[in-house]
Order: sequence, then C-alpha cells, then structure tokens
Amino acid sequence: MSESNIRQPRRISDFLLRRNPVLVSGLITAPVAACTDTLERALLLCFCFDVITAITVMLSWWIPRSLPYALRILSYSLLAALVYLPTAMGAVFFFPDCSLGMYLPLLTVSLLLTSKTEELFPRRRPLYTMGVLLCCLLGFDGVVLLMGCLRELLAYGSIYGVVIKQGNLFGAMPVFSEIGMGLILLGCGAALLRWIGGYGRREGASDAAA
Amino acid sequence: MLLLELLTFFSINLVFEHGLGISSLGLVAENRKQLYGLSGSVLLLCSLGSLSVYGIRQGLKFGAESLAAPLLYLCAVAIWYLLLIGICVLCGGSVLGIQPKYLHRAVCSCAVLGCCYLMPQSLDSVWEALWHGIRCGGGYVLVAWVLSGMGPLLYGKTMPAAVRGWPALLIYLGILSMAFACI
Repeated sequence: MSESNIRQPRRISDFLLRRNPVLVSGLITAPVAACTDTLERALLLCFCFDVITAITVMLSWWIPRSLPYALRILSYSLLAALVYLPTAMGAVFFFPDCSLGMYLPLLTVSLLLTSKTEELFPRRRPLYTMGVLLCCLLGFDGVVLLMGCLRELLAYGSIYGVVIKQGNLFGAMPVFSEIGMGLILLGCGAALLRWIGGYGRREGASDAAA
Repeated sequence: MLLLELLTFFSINLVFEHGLGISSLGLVAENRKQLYGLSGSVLLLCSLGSLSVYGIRQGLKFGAESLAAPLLYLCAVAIWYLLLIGICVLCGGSVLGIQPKYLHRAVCSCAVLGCCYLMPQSLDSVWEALWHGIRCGGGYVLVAWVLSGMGPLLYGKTMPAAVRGWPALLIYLGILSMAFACI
C-alpha cells in the first residue's frame, strides 16, 4: 500500500474512542481478553504493549517502502521481536510476581504492528504520526486498565490485590477471570461505545477486515 | 467416539481456549468466501510452523520460555510464509484456494505463532509435532466454519445496530468459549 493512498481520519483524537484499537478496530484482541483478569496483569500488558509498539513504530520508519509487502510486514514483526527482548527483561524487573505467558511474545504480531503500521503511522508526517501513536496507546491503555479493574473486582473482590469488598456482587463471580468472559466484556464495551457515541457503525467488523 | 473427538476439537482449540486468531475470524464471519483460503492458510502455516518449532527445539535445546524464542519462531514461520507465497506466484496466484492475500492475513494472525508457543515441550517425534499443528489449525478451521454460517446473522440487519458486526462476534465467541470450557 503506498502512502499516497492512505485514508486519513479527520482528528488524531479519533484514535482514543472513534477508532479505538481494541473496541472498534479489533486490532488487539487475544492479549486483552486473556491478560486483563487482574489489574496488575493489565498494567504489565500496558507496559509491554506500549514499549514494543512505540519503539517498533519508530524503528519501522527506516524500513524501505520499496520492499515487497510480504517482506515489509515480516520486517515489522522481526523488529518487534528484537524490541521484545529488552521489554521482557524489563517486565521481569518491574513486575517480578506477574507474567503474561505466551501473550507477551504474541504482541510482536499484533495487527497494529504488521498490517496497519503503514496506514496508521505514515513516516512523511512525523508529528501527526506521534500524535496518532500516543492516542492509540492511550486508547489501548484505557480499555485494558478499565477491564483489569472491573474483572478483578468482580472475580476476586479486590483491586491490585487489595481486597475491597466480598459480597453478593464483588468477588462472587470468579468466572470473570475466564477468557470467554473477557471476550464478552470486550463485545459489550464495543457495543456500549457505539450506542453512546454512534462510533464505528460504518467500520463493520473491524479495521482488521480492511 | 467421533462426537467425542469433535467436542475435543471444539473445547481444546486456539480460539475458545486461548482467544487467538479472533481478528482474522472476523473476516470469515463477514465474508464467507474467505473461509477456505484463510482457514486453509492458517492450517498450513500452523502445521509447518509446528514442524519447524520441533526442529528448532531439538536442534537448539531450548524451550518456549526462552527470550530468543519469538525471534526464532517468527523466522521459521516467515521462511514458510515466503516459500508458500513463492509457490502461489509460480502457480499463477493460487494453490487450492490459498492466495498470497490469505497468507498475509494468516501470518499476521496470533493463531499461527500461538500454535508454536502452545506446543508441549515433551513431544517425542516429528509426527506428534505435525499432529499438534494439524490439531491447532483444525480447531481454527472448525470455528471459522461455524462463524461463516453465523456471519449473516451476526452482521445482518436483524441485529441491533450497536451490536451488529464486531461486538456481536466477540459476544458470540465468548459465550461459545464459556460453553465449551464447561464441557
């Protein structure tokens, strides 16, 4: 895809809600559904995703666009896999009691980094790209942290390991820590976002379908 | 026995148990024509990727928890991906319905690399590794087949506008995942 054909949204802030990478675009689903069962894991996911995505996007500007598409998307993933090494070490350092398992390396093949990098982060407009990147990361972090809080509260009755209340509602539904419930909550969040703001109705399934 | 095996394929698979490959499944649900190409590509790359990962683990003697694993697994899948694209191009753009565009989407999906990470450490032979890949890819194909049938409902006009499409797909997959987890 050439940069001249890239469809630009009107506002950078659209990437916070209107084109949220998780709820509307559906670019990162599995790690969010699986790793937001507690707030600590959600924080770790935010840390790892932000570091890997931000550094990889900036490094990807040096990948020549003259390469065939197949080689370009492989290059982005390989760059992300290189960035993964220090990120994984940082994750162990900052969150020694927490792990994302196989979902951490899977961040290197997120659609945001492979098939959508050139569309969302054009290198000919660095300031615009930095703004979009920041909004994408903030949009991702907001959803992940909200999911982490909600699921931990409902599943274990605590937030970041601190017990808030145990009763009929909080801490009484361990099923909220399951992946299936993560998917249902994501779907409900996406529907709620559309219902409130009328966002994303034209996008259909997801940006991933484009 | 066949029913039991089918239930096992549904309950222990990439999508329902680990939530992998959902973004690409949205494509199949939205457009049934993509079913054979995309799921065939995922099945093929899962099988070949598993073989490669088995070879890498045997040759280099390290596990999935190694820091170098993502780079090596990605390289292994990338080599197969480029080879398959080369074969498609040589054969006029398509082999058994598999086209480069489906291979692009399959390799960008978490399903293929996830299959590599899910491979047990204790496999004894190359056939077991191949069976693991076929099992993971087969689970994905089954879910894709189910979704291709449900697509018109999930994306249809009868679904409320706020839920139609992507949100409905997530909720539907979540409910199925919970149901098969109980089995």
